[in-house]
Amino acid sequence: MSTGNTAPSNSADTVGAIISLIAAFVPLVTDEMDLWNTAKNHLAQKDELTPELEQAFDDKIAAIGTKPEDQQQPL
Amino acid sequence: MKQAFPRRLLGTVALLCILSTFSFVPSCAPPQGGYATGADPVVVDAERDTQVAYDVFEAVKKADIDLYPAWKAIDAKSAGAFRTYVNYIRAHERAWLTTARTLTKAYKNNRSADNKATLTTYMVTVTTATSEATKWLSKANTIAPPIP
Repeated sequence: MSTGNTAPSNSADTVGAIISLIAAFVPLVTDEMDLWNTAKNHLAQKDELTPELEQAFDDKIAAIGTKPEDQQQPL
Repeated sequence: MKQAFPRRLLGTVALLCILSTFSFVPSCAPPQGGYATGADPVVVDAERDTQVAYDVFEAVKKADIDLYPAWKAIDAKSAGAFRTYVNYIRAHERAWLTTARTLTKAYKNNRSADNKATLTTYMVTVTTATSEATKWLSKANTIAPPIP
């Protein structure tokens, strides 16, 4: 009986943990996109990047090679 | 009534004087060539060209993944040339953009004539690659347009 009760509780914990993880991750992604878009707007207005926007730009470049489309493709 | 015109003229002259005075003060003068006030065109151009290059390279890689099969079915030879070019971009883009950023930051830290020359010379490599990638992108979208 006790084992029957723990299973749903564990599932609920797991779901809760996943939701917390996603909730923690989403703002990071949003912040990164916002900074990148801000950097682009900044450059569109012909202004120099600030150190914070430079970092967002450098992070984008550093991530080159991590996506599937970055890999060499067969002919 | 006789003094009305000279007084208005005096006001206009005073306004012109004020405007011309402000136009000589750098912080009040309109930006030259559309650049933001205080921005160095060498830095802005380098940062913008690097950002545009990044976006174009991303687009051409995506086009290769999305359009290559359809293009290959239409014309295998030119599709192969496209993929070869995009693979060349894949092999070099990180080094090109990283170097551009490094040289831009070096110039921002020390705006010497030497650093300016090194940066502007290197940016030709980046803008040439961007221009070439844009041509391929246009060709890809013409030959094998994406399915809406």
